Amino acid sequence: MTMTPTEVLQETLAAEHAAVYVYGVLGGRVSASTEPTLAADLRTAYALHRTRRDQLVAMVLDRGAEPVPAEVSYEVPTPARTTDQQRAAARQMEAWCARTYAAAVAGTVLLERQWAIDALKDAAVRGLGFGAEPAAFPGAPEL
Amino acid sequence: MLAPRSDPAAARSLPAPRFSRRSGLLALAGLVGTVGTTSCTAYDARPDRPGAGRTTGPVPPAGHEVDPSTPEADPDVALAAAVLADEQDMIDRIVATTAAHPALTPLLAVTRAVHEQHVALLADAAPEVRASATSSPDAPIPEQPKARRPRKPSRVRQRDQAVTALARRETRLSLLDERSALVAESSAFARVLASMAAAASQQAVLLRAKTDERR
Repeated sequence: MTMTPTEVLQETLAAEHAAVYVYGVLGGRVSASTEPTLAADLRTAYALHRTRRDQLVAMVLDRGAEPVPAEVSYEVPTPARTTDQQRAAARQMEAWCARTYAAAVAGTVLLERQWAIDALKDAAVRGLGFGAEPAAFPGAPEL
Repeated sequence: MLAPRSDPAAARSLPAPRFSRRSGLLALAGLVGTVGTTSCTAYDARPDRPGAGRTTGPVPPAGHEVDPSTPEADPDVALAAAVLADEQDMIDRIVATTAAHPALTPLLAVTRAVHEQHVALLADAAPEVRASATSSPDAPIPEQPKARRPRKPSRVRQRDQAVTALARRETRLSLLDERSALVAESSAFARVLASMAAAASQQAVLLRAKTDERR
């Protein structure tokens, strides 16, 4: 079933809500004094996904729809107790967001598609910073 | 994976990939099936190419005007041909670089594999496309310096310069793929192109990191 652009944007917004939550949790578990690089990367990712969330809210509103709200909480992909687990959680977040953005590329046109392309490229590169391996088809692993 | 935690019973799965390799290939097959007959002019059709906007293709004889509804008139066919040429050009550059600097072969193996997978995807969808693909006419593969210089860079420096040049080409390729994704009419093809753009961005970052870490 083909989704409308508004539905695609709502699904992307739902993903951003989850990303903001997860990065908030991860950021709170990393010591800025003992892991300054990881802490800074998580802060940057948190700020970026918040910005993307706000942009998506605006895009959905522009389409005359009510933006989907955030859930109360989300499952963090890993226990996130160790640095390795925190990096793994961030990697999984970016990979999952990349798949969502790639779907948004397919489901939108023009400015909204440009937004999705930018987000996909950023997620692919940001994942590298958390230790992800480069891929031939970021966001489209089935290819 | 990332379900809302508040109500596990009502946890809905967040967006799962709705695409299969088959659907992606079929989408491409529909696009590039006729590239073999149009690639010579298709490359010039992209607006970012030098001379874009000029009529460079053969003028159909009277009575053979192209029907806009035919596959040959599909603008995505031009994009597919341009993308393939750009990807092949990138592979050619990597091959030339490793030929000049064999020590870089392991470093560039992943980069080469990424672009070979991109070419393979297109070739899987339409085998005749590979034969029709040509490297970018505006992007000659740089020759190794021939002229004597007062101070010849060290071998390591030359290798770093070669890797930096490839990183720049990856950035350029990412922008070209991005532009193609933006204008692709097929949504599935747009997704594939955007993913290729993201892959090139990754490679650009990784290649730059390889040279930065030696400084």
